[in-house]
Amino acid sequence: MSALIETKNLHFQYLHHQSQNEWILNGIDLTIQNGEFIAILGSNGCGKSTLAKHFNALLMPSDGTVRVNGMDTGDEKKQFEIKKLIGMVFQNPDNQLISTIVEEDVAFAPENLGMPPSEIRERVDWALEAVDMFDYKRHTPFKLSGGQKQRVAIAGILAMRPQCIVLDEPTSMLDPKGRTDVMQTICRLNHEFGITIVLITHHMEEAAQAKRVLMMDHGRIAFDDTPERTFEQIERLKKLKLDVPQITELAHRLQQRGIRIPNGMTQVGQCVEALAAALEERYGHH
Amino acid sequence: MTRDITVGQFLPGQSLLHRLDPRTKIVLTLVFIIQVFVSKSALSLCFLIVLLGVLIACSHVPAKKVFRAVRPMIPVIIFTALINIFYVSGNPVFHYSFIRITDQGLFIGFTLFVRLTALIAGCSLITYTTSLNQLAAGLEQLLAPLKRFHFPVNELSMTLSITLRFLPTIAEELDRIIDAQKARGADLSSANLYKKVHAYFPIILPLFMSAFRRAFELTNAIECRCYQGGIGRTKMNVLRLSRLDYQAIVFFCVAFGLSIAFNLYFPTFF
Repeated sequence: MSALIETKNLHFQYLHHQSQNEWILNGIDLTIQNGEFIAILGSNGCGKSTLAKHFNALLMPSDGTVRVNGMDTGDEKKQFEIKKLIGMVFQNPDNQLISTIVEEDVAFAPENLGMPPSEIRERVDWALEAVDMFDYKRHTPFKLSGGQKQRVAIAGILAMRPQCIVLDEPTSMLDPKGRTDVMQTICRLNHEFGITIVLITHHMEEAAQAKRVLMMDHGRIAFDDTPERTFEQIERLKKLKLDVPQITELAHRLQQRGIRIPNGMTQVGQCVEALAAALEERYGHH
Repeated sequence: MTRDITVGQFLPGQSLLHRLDPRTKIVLTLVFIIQVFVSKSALSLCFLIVLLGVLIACSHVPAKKVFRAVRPMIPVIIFTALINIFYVSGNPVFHYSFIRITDQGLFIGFTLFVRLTALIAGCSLITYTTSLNQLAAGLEQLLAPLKRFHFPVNELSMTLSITLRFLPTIAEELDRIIDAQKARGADLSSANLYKKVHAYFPIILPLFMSAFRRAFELTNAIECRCYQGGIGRTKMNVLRLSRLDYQAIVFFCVAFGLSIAFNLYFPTFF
């Protein structure tokens, strides 16, 4: 494993030379390794989207540095290379698709990279296959559901073959079905293709699927650990105005009532087993 | 409120005309229109109309559809033709105070009617058989030589394709805003023109705001996908002239040659 993204003492403020306001990002030191699956949590206005935009040079630090594979994002000559490595998917799928035909939209990035037509075709087919939208390649995105559109948007990034995909609340405008489909796709990209995932989200259930959770508060990283350990800190999460996953909350309450059950439960299956074991222990042998 | 948001009037199909390269269709349509307008001979004009009929038959587009494209233009065409009837000099066939109708005028008025109808029918035929994407791609390649004179051909076609992509989205948004403002008591059905214009401000302004917001987000998304303008860009679907295109070009060369020959050897109307 090697460091893919590295921020050092990252500060950011819009028009920083003019205003005396609070920093939007206030000293962030963060290292993201190749192949990681990270969720970034935080309430509105905590700076999580702003941080994400620094990862692929959409925004430049006001102070401090951001390095991607050792390349400084401030170096204009490296920015193209950085954008190729770090793809980004946004909230509203409608505002990311540029073509009236699915496959032509996915072809947009490789076309920009100046690839030969046969290779573009190969990448487009591969990307659509990876997000399970191959059957829709001749369709118009306008007729697709939100979840399908968002998966096409992911394919459009995937066709660049990036090392990392940053997703900025990709499910917040989707219905529950679309949300599950998109989350499955994201997990699959991480497991099967080893693509580094940085997922910005409001949903704790989604964050629980990551392997590392960052919590942000007022432009700082408040917490950085595994999902299990993060959700153990229920009181602290509540102070940051974040909801814990229902399962975790359930376990926490049972614990308070004196049922012996481990902390930081995030998966339903996990909880069922622990609960069964706890009940067995207490009322078992009847 | 539902709105028909089909942009253009493409009818998908597999006919000969559908399968032609858009560049072939654009160029041949242009040449056809020029021919229709410069033909002085009745024989040649009749020949071109028959050719148009054959093309409509080959396109599998119902003649009714072609007629529907022409119909809204008929009053304009008739008006233009009438003006010509009255203002062309020649041997008078009808004379009453200041109204003078000449035989020449009648011919010119009539042929103008035929020419304009053929023009619109020809244009509708290409839009019926070619998707807007194809048309845009065809235009982009036809205009490609202009790049040498720093004409932004790629950027132009990108603008066109984004416009096509966002028209239905914005139309849908317009419906949503209208509904939202109606729910807040906006009166859009007022007969008073001033009031009506006034009532539309709260609809147009949010629409513009949202269009700008979309534009900002789209800019980010496009930048993330490494867009840097037309420089160094390639295409997945490269247009290629097929055997069919060459056959069509040869066929039309012969047809247009015949039409020119008719003009040369039978130059009058009769």
